[in-house]
Amino acid sequence: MGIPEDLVQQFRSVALQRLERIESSWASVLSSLDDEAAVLIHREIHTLKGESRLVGFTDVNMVCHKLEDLLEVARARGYAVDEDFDLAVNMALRFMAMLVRKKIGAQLQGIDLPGFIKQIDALLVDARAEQRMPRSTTGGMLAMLRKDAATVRVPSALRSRLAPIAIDSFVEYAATKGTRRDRLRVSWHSLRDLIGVQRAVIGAGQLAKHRANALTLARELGKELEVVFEIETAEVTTDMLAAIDAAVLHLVRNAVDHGIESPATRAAAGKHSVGKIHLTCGVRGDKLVVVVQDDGRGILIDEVVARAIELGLVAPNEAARDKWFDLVCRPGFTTRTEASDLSGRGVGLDVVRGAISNIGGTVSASTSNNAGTTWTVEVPLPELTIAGHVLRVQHVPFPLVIDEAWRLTETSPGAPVIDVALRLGLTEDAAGEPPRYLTNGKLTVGIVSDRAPQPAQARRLVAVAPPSFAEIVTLDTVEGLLIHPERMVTLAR
Amino acid sequence: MDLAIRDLDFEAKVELADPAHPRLELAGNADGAIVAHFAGLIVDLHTKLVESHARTITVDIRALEFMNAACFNVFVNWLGVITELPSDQRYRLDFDANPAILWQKRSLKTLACFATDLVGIGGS
Repeated sequence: MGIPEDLVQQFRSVALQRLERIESSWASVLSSLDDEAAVLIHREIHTLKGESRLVGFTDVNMVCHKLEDLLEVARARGYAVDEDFDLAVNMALRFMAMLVRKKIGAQLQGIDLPGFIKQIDALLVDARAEQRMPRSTTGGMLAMLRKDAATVRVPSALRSRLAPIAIDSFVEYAATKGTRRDRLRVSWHSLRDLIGVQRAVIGAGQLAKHRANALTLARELGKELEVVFEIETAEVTTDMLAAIDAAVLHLVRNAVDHGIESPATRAAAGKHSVGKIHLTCGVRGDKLVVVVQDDGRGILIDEVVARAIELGLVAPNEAARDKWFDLVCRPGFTTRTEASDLSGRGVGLDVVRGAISNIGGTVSASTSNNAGTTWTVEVPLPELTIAGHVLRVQHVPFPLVIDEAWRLTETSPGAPVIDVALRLGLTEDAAGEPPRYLTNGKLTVGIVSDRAPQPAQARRLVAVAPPSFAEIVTLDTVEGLLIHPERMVTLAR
Repeated sequence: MDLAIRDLDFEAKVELADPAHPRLELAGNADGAIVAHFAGLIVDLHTKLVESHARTITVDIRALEFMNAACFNVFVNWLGVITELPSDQRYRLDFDANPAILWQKRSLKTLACFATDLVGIGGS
């Protein structure tokens, strides 16, 4: 018995609507990595596959299967697909639309379903192989590095040197059309993943393990310990999180091992038998401040100096008491003649200071005999979000952002004029239109822009230090450049 | 009616002087910036071809380095419009492709699956 015609008609109508939704959602996923659209696509295709089977459109059902395979590959690539792939998905949708429209019982006149499936299969084979093997030399090497970006930590000095190159890479990618654009996108994204700002959250969840470790260690050492962690959540970079994590590891371990005394010693010194370590971590102004405080014996400065003399680090007659902090932070320094399994190995404080220094932070300490030691780690918080204005400039195929400190002002004929498109080499002709003048209170510049600046929040993507006049940011999901007009003017002089 | 597009790096040119051998030549990069113009050109060209009772048109894409999905969909739509014509008005799209440009081969082979009787691929 055949399928009732009205049911078939209903299927056709609904299926064509589904295909339209899938097509527009696919475009949305590719342009803005819209997660909801991605979910909708998978759901719609799955439903269409089931419905087509029910009404006997086996050809549609078959293409649905292939489309699902394509989308699975796309999803595995984070929807970073090339034009061939995009076209294949689009053609599969159009092919299905054609199959849905054809009259029931009509022959597939001129339609080569097996051939179409074969083409999709060939693309899938290549796409899957490509997932295993990078396809171009440049993109390939970077892609391989990119694959490891989550585990490879690029030194900050190298990152600083690569950042201006990343800007060139981004601009070239954004401005290029054609097949080269795909290759440039792979290169740019690989570079971005290697040196871009990797955000992380520091909070109780990330540092709690150190509290548990401290209590375990205290038990092993026969010490009684109370550990209090007060941690505010803050957005940091992954570098910062790693450095602070290392610092807390060593400082807490040192406090348990060196600072906190045994219950008997504490009792003899008139202290409570239970030692205390208090850690606070939070934002103070523009810094993240971590304080590790113990109420132990304190650092015996005379002992530190004596050991330093013994190790030949200071001269016997040198006034070295003021240098105690630098001495205890020297690689390999320990006041112990026999290393315990723990911090006595002389590895720790130098690591803390080095790690924190690498992210632009400082470590300081104060100590008091029999009252304990307080270590303070201060790290400048990265400005990850920038309140600014977005500009649109002719010939510049991405948004430009300027810090909100710049405001529109009246026409200033003597002010320097910045033509960003010209400056970036995106055009060879100076803009004919008059600039818009902006001032930050100290400097007034004219910027050639199609539209008046609009407020925007930009997220820093690749930070670039002066004298570079630009950084790479994202506005929602769109990548653009944050420009520093004052640097552009300085460089132009 | 000017059946031509001259963009920065894309060019489309139609030759209808010889009614028996109409040609569409595409060159450069066809991306999102020209898709609307390209679709408009194909609509106008289709009208001309139907009026002139053309049986085939040569689409020379040997110098077309790149065509994005949106532009290529114009070909798919074009083919769809041709298939809906009465059989005596239908005409073929004979593509003259560049074998050195890999996307052309793959995309055209897939396109031909929509209507094997209306798509020819030469040069590859």
